[in-house]
Amino acid sequence: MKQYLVIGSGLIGRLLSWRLTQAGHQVDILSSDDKQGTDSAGHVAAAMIAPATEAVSAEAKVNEIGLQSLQLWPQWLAELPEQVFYRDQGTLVVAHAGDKAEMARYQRRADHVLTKHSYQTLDRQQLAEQEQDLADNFENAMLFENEACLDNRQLYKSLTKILDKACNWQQCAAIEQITESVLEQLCQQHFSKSADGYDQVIDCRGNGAKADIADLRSVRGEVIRVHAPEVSFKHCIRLMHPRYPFYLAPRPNNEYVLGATVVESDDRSPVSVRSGLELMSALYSLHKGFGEARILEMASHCRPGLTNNMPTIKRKTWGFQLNGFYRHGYLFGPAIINDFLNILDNNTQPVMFGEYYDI
Amino acid sequence: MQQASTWQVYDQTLQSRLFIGTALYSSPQVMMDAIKASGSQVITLSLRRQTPTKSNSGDQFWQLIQSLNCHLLPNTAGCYSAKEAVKTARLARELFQTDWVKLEVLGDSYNLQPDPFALLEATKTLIAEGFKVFPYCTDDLVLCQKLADLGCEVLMPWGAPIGTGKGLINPYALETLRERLPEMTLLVDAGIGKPSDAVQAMELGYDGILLNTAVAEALEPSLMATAFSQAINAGRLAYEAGVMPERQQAKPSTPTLDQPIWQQNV
Repeated sequence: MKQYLVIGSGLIGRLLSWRLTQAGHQVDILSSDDKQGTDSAGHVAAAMIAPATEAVSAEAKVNEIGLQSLQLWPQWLAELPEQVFYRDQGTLVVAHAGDKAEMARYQRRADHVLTKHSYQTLDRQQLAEQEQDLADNFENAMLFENEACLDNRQLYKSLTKILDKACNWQQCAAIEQITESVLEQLCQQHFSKSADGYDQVIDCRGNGAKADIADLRSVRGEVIRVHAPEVSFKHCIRLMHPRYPFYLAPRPNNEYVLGATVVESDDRSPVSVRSGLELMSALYSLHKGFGEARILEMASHCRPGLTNNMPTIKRKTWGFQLNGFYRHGYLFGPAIINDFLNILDNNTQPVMFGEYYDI
Repeated sequence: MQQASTWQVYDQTLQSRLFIGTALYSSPQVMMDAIKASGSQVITLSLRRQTPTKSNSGDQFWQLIQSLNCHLLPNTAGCYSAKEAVKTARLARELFQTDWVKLEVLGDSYNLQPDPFALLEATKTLIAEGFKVFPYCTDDLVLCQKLADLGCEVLMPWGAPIGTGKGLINPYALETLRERLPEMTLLVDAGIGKPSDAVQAMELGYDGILLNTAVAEALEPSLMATAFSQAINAGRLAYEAGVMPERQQAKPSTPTLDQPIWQQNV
């Protein structure tokens, strides 16, 4: 059994802490956020595990890392005491008649980035078989079968419960910068022990680590959560749009999360009226039943991204940093954490995505 | 590779004749690589989306843009009235520390066509405030003449609507502008899809090209940026070299001295 200190309790911090405790280690957690994780980007996210559709607008490697996570998620979720909603019906990509050119561009990129047979093209009738209500509005679609989403709020709750029992979890003021002396002081103050008492310290602060990681930036995103009893979509849906594609992720009990925006900014202010209008009109254009939906929440947050928008593991004199999960916390999280556990375990398995690490 | 002559844009002497945008890239890294490959010395960026914070600390994206050491051409993208565009231009001057502004006042949200009337109004106000205005305009000669009369030294008529990649849909109008406004610095802004579109504009005597989507939405943006850089240089060299006039009849490029003149008629 080893002793670990995990700093940060967002998605990556809590997933890592949980996997370490599952492996039989002792974990202390230090975080400026509350235990529910309300200040974390992963708490706001649509939580899609969409390797192919994300890779299309990024690079092929996104698909590779995502597919690894897609394998791990069901296994990991099965280890939780409570069931967490996990929907793996795939993603439908659709475009309104006016945005057909965007769809053609998307398909062209998909053919360039992905391997053959990564998706099927559906005509109206085939679309109706997948998602009856969408076929009224759209004459065709692309179906990416190998994609999923989960209920991040249920996951956060479940992990909060587990970690609160299994770990010594302390809240602290925001940590601007980690140095050996800062770390020593924090360990003394919150755990009455020396940093040397830990086998490893792992920093998972996301945006909070900006002062420590030179090329870390924030990318603002905005989402709307609704309860729509008249809508019963089973798939994740991407709606093409000239500025940014909208993504709709289903939740249990006819709830949905719709997100879209990617704004290069560390602005944490609430959702703008313009974004709200765009998000809501996108919803309404997908299904008229959203007209009578109830708005549960409109939220914004910032994702921590590196210049290449890919995740990284960095070795420091005082420990490790896991960061740069950008808009891909759920997509990359398990794959990269698995790689990291293997690194901690002295590389008993080959490291899968080492090209992005600085260790 | 031989480079075309340098050129003057307001108070700056430039080598590259390509102005490039910063939107639509899949990551900042892809954007940086493409901009470097383009050899561009002027990058255009929108105020709303890439605003430097007051403190300039922690705004990594802004620092990346600055690290390119290019001239910045802030734009008023997405403005639909003169008032809004003027306000955006003022903010841009303060935040980006430049009096250059790509003035974009849109009149139609479907084809993003510039509103010529609001454009004139905003241009007048901004020039009076000391701005160096780069108006994004239609290819209408009278509009362009009036923009020049207001004091614009640079005009940026569209080749086609923004993001369409349709190339020069009205080469006649663009050629007319070049002929009738010989002293103006002219760039084709918007609508360029292929490097050959850029060559066509440069061969007409345009001084430069502003583009974004054609590079950002290519499957390999860096490679396309290189292609545009070379195409624009080639087009300019061709213009400077003087393109031969077309003729109807074939003319052998190898002299055939032993044949009688007008042999076909003999």
